[in-house]
Amino acid sequence: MTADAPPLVHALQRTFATAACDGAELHVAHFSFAGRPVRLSVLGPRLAARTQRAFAHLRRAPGEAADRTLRIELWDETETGVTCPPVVELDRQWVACGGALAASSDGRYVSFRYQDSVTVLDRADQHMIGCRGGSYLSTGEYSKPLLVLLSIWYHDRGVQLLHAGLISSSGSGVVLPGASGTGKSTTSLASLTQGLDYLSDDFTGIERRSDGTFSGHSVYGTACLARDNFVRFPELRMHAVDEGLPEEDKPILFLSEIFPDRLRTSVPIRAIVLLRRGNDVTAVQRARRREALRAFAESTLHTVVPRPGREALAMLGSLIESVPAWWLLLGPDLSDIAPAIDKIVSRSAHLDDFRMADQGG
Amino acid sequence: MLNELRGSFTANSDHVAAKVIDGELIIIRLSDGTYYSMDNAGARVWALIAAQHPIADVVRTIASWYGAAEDRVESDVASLVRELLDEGLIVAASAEANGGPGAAPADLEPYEAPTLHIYRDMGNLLALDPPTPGIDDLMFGNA
Repeated sequence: MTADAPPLVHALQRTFATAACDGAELHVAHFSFAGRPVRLSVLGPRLAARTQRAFAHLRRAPGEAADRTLRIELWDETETGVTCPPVVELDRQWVACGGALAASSDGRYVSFRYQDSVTVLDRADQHMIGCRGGSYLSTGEYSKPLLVLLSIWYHDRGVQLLHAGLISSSGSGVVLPGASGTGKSTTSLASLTQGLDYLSDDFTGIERRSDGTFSGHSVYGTACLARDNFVRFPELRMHAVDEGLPEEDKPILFLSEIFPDRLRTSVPIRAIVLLRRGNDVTAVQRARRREALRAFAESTLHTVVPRPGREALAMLGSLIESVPAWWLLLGPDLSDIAPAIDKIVSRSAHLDDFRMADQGG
Repeated sequence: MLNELRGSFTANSDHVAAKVIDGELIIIRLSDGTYYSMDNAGARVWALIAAQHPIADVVRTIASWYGAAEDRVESDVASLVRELLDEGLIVAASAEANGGPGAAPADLEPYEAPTLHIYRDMGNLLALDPPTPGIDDLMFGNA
């Protein structure tokens, strides 16, 4: 960070250095986020364990070039005894995700403040630094750490976060857009428990490749399931981490600890699957591309922060035009879901020209 | 002639992103995340407006493509243009399109009056000030 960085940035940097010099226990782990190297340095063993847990499936060996690495530095106020500095807000401020998002006037620095915690991202240097006050991590922070600032970092790398699930059958990715309540988590988890590979149940990174195809990236190896939905997944109940407030009614599943061989980091996207509940029996039928566009608009444009813009809409349009779309009409039997996904992947691979087929669908 | 039918307009491209796929139009108003949808004739009207065809030509084209009465289409288009202007989605164009609108698309459904569906996010409904930020509010050139 440069000498003319905002006061908040300098304060966080000084305080982190102070905590490190004071002998606080430093934990360093390396990850790959959408194929980009990341180094996570945390002062405080409990915060380190809780921050790393959601990214466990993305761990990699150290050794990437430092200038292309996202460096994340965090410390825990309670564990280190080093107090978070007073927050001097950046130039522009918004209310977002129950906290406060702020940005410098040139957009280089973006901060997110939530309860007693604050984190700042330097987009030029790919450096994120923050402190955690208090001993409580909300379910949201525990299951999806640093989501708001990471969504900006991903965007800067050409990866758009969508509110969509992502699963894989035989290496072919299937993206599941849909608003809350449409069945993304149920479909993603049912697919996983039945032997398919899992990347996401709600936030997925989509990236357009140089050849015009699309990759889907896992952002977090977690799923949050409403307590009353565990009746459909009784085998997962023992693994639920339920440390949130009573009103946070979705315990967390750290899926890499339950299915270590079935979490993937990235897959090529071969199909879009729209979900509709309430069918008598699970069935598959072609969807029109316009229906896919509507599903993405309804599920992503209002639910990702910061809100996606013109680049995201253009990317969604290209994605929809490049892979076939299907309706998965969900019946009551979860064991029908994975075979239906397999059928979709197989049919998608055999469509010579899905655009012609789509006009008849 | 109604004012909405004079001259030509264009998408307010600095503040709006739009995508049409198979006759379904999605528009995002970047300032606050409000998004809009139209299909069938509405999407076709938008495409013609965005291409800066004079509104009078848009009316004649839509009436011809759909086999609809021109006075009915004129009234419908005037209402839509008024609404698009009110929402800040189009602005007056400084020039008109070169060339005609082209042949009618192959998959037209029966004509219905264009309807602009508006989806305002919870931030607007809760009167957050300012609204939930968009990524375009955080533009940074060197990232």
